[in-house]
Amino acid sequence: MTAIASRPRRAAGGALLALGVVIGGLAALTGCGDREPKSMVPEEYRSWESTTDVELDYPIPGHEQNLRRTYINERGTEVETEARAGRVYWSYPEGTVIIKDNYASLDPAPGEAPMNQTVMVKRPDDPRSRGGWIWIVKDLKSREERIIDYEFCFDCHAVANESHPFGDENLDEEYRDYVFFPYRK
Amino acid sequence: MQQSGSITRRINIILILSLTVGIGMTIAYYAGTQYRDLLVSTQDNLDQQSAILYQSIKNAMLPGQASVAVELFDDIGSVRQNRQSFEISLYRANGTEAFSDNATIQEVNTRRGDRMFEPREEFTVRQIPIDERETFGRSVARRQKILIREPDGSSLFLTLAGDRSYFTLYNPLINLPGLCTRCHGSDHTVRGLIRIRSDITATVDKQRRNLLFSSLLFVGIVVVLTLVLTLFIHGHVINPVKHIRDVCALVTGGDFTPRVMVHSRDEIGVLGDTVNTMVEGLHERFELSKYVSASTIESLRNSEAGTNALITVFFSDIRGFTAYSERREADEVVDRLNRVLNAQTEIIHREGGDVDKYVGDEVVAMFTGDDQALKACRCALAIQREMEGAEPERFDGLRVGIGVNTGSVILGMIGSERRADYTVTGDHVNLGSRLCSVAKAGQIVISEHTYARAQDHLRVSRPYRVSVKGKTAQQRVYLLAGLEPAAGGEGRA
Repeated sequence: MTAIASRPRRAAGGALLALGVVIGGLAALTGCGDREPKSMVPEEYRSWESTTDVELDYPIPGHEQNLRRTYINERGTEVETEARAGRVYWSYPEGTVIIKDNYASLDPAPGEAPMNQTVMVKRPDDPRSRGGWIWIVKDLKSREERIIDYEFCFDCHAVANESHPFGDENLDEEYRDYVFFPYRK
Repeated sequence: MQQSGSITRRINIILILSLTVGIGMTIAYYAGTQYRDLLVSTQDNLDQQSAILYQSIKNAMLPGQASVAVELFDDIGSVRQNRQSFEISLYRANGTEAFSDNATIQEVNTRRGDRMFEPREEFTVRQIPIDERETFGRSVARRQKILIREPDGSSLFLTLAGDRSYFTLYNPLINLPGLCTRCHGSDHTVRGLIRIRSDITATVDKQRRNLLFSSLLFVGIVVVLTLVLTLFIHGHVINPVKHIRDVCALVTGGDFTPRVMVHSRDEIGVLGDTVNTMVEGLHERFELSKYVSASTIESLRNSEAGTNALITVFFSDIRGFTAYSERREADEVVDRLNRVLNAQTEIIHREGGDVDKYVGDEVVAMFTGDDQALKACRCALAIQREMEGAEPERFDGLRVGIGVNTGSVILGMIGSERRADYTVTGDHVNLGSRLCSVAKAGQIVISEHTYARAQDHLRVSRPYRVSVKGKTAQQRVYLLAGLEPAAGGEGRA
């Protein structure tokens, strides 16, 4: 009698196991196991070179009344230029990081910390990239890094590839790979 | 633990639960995902439209080309008129609809220091609707697209019929360096905001109808499948099991003729075959039990060893049977003998006795219990009445003498390993047999031991002293005449 009576229990156990496998499979398919990405903004950037000597203390859309200071990592200093069909093309290598410290005003006090950072990371293969760059806003209080995969950063910086009002104004309409003040050795 | 209720009902419950939980949840999940996918698809469409519009405005809003942008939005306005369910509009960052007043014209002319654009003479200032200002402001502050669903939090299931449902997308236009800033300045980031409002009521209604149809279809499928499966289970499981139960009930009642009608070779068919085999075996054993005393069967059942017991032994013998049998054919002798034995056996069983054995024309029976003596005497009287009162042709004039004695006897399985009977032996058994020998045809001779145990109920002739074989002293015996009325007696026939 025991053996006979135990069959339905075994069947029920098997059914539960099968259900667990199905649910587990579905969970795997629906991507329940996504993990938080690691930081893409290096902490030690102050020793990097600046992209320009120009004091960026004038209002511009996006940063308005904020002083900006920009830094480029060593990988970015390997930027290459190439002339094609009479136009110069700038190309920053993959791995380039450009960090822009944004201060709360156009005239911050000495030693004052920036309020946030806007960052460009060259990763053409990343699906979140636009124009080959990942655009990030980092809140320096919460340390939160927010990827801006919509127009806000990208559209402004697209103007860098044509004539614009800043720096040398790119009068030759070079393709500057979305960087307003290209790194010059 | 025993479960109550019929198998059919339990199976139906399991079926309905399985179908409801299995198919129902799948359909519900499918309907839910379809609905969500449709909404996401609609959102994506709006997003793409806003992106196209964004690019169009960006390309139209070249320095000094505001008139082109105005024409663009006039054209868009005509689209809005043709499709009431779809609205596209452009607002400045402060919430005023673009080109609805002269503010921008005056600002640009002032910034440029000339009258590049002539102010409108007639205009109507339009503002973003009050209930949208919070979302509008959030989109401007974050410089990010925001898409909202109205009514807020509504779903396919919660949206009531008749309610209208909307998607509204707010897409900020960036004050692009060079392109915009030349005329509008660099002191702000968001130049304006595209608002697209799409009425998705028809889409939601269509999904609701699809879900309703799917639900009805599901209910129909559950009902049909339940019916089909119920009929199948009834035809192939329940009814055959009921048939087997009916056969078993008849067999339990003593009828061994019915058999299970086996129509299949599945598990039920095998069960039917097994039951048929079992009934045949029971029938054989039942037939065999006619030839084995009840005490033997009981002994076998209980595996009793030899023991002493107080028993009333009953002996009956046909008088003059040897001479009778010599004058008749064997088949007639057997027929008459069986009639006499059958009649006695019926009465013995009726009176609570147990036939121990037949020895030729002799019947040996036993009575037990507190009133064993009275039962044996009542039985003996009934047999004599039956024999004496029967029509002549029934027993052909055969008559019996009966001896009854009560005493301690030895009970046990007596015989060889190959053939044994559960029977009695001992001095009192022998005395009973001797009393039968001295009883003449139609007489019942009981011992003083039997008389002593039932004398209040018996009517007897006064004691006689008889010599019996194997006993040196004479035995005091009584001729049983009948029962006292209180014992239900009516005397001898």
